[in-house]
Amino acid sequence: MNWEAILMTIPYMTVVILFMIGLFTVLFKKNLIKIIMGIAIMQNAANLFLVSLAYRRGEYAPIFTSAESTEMVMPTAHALTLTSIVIGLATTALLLSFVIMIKKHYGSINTDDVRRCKE
Amino acid sequence: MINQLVLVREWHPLVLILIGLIVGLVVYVIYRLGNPSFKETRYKREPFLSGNVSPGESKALHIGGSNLYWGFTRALKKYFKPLVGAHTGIVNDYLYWFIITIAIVMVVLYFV
Amino acid sequence: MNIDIVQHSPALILAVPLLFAFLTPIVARISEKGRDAIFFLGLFIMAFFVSVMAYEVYTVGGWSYVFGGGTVTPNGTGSSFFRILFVADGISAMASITLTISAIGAAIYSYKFMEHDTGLNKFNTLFLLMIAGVNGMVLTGDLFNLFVWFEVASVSSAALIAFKNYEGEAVEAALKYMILSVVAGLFFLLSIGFLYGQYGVLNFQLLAENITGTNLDKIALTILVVVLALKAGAVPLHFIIPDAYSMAPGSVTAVLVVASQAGLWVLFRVVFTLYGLAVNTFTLGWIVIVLGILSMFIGVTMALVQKTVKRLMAYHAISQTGYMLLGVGVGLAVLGQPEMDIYGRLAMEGGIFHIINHAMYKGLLFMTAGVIIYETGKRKLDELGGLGHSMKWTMVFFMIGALAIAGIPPFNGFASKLMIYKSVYSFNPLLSIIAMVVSILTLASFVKVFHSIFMGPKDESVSKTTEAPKPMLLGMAILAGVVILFSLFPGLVVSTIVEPAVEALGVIV
Repeated sequence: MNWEAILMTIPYMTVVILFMIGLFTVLFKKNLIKIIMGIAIMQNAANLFLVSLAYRRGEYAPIFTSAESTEMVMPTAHALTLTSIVIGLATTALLLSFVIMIKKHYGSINTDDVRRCKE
Repeated sequence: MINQLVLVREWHPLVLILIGLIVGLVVYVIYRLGNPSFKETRYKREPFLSGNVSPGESKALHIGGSNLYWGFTRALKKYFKPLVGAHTGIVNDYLYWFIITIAIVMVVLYFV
Repeated sequence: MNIDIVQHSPALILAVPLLFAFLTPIVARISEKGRDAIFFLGLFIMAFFVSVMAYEVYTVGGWSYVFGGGTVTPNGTGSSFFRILFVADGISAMASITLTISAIGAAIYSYKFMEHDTGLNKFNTLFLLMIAGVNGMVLTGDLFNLFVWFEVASVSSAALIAFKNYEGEAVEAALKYMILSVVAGLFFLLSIGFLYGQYGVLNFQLLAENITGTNLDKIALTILVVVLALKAGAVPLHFIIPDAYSMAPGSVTAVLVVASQAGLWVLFRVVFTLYGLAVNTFTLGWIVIVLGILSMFIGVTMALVQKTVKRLMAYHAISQTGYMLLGVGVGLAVLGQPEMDIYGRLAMEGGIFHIINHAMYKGLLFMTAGVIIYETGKRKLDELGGLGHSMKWTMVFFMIGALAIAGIPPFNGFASKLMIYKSVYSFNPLLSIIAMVVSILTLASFVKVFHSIFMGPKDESVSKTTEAPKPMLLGMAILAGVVILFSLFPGLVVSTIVEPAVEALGVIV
């Protein structure tokens, strides 16, 4: 068994497990706060995926001060991840403020009750 | 069969409007040939309700809203009942449909 | 100063709404009239830049704009490997023109429509942000930039849907819209990761040259197609659209229609330019066709049982999106084969022409529904009646919109639907027959709405209604004028606006 190859895919397996946990929470839980937390877990999984795509074996993190060597990972994916983290912050804040308003109008945050717009 | 297909990309709406104006002119000429001294009676404008008393010009005369097409929806009840039932309004169901569509499209794109 | 405005116009189209969006609350502290003046000034400056870019695209040709200087160099050399590209071609020009006309009409309309609400600083800011987001989605040539503008557009759209937050249903609709958009955006990010990990580049041009049809590419393709179909409102993913369109304020819905169509534009770019012939286009074309047929049929049959005006019109928007998917799906299914020359190109032109027609007459219809809600305060069809006696101009605009959407000659809906019927019939006759039946059911549904609202004796409870205020009539008149203009000269519009868009998709005969 090629242990090294399996070891290299551990970040990707973590991404899949985290994404599935988040997706399970969003699909099957009825409390709105739990759904938003599931979305946050999925955002973390997607960011981890982007960061772990950029790794090359034997290269170091792209920080210039007191660097061990100048063989560095290309930081394009890190820039994408930073953007994605900020977008995740904005969307989570907006979703949570919507939940506050819904609690004020409907009195409960169960998705079976929050359904006046049907059919 | 493909050779007989004539592809006309543009159709000419100005020709249609011109024809409409000419027909309107003919209609107007026929209208003016009528009798100008005819007075409308009450019975000319009311609907005929098989001899029943008409409710007059009030709101009860106007059938609108969800009463129209009642026969159509009632006749196709077997199709409409599951369709309207599928639109529940629960967020989790909306996400189920999203995941199921991704799954079906992935299977179709792989194996066909 | 030699600043070449024409070359920099894609960046300026995006920068101007963003700048004025954040300038508006500052000016609003000084005076209220100044805030409205700045709002309209921003929109008109953006319209100027859109017309400059469109003129250049239609006379000279499209170009790619490297954001931050530098030139576009082929295949991974030079600075275009690292920078973000914006693309100004037929598709960008057509989408920006649609958005500008719709936004100006909606802005003039909302000047009077929103006057009873407070918090109008935030309304103007969010409106300009939404316009910037939708413009960004169609102007960009880079996948991750597309994700950023997708999220900007969905956040600002959700906040605008929840604008009347004294009603609980508006906030609920916005919450559902936001949850689905965020989950879809996360799947989108995954597919960007798949493509980036394989090829190392992110812009459309370089990816299109390097892409092959490996299995990971197919997974990325399915995720991209389904996510963009959710943004556009195709059928198994359409559940958020009626809630969102019916609860938003009237003028916002007219621009939300164009925001949903941005998903369609990007879908066409992904399927034709990015993937092209690397995947089996026959299968992919049939998938798009099936999505289109389902949207058309389920959209219109759900619309026949609705009891509220705006929800009914939202289901019709879903149904008309099916026409666009059908036309372009037929073009996709015959890509690369000799039939493309005969009817595939006509199908694509019909589908793409239908997009701009739909934005115009649907915006007009939503604005008339907004007028009715503003004047009477009632949304349900059962309570309305006899409004034709007092609202004559609104009735005329509604008739123009309803005849255009049903595809009655001589309006512009008929011109684009005729192109779709002709070409789809020679592909497969059954699809064309289903399209015609859906068109008849559309007409039936709008006759129902027209009779319920405008016909009938004058009702005492709604007898105090008067005609709509002048700015609202002006906003509706702009869109109705464009509808009539497109109806009288469809050939001119197709050859000027639609054909460059079809060629920009890289369709090689």
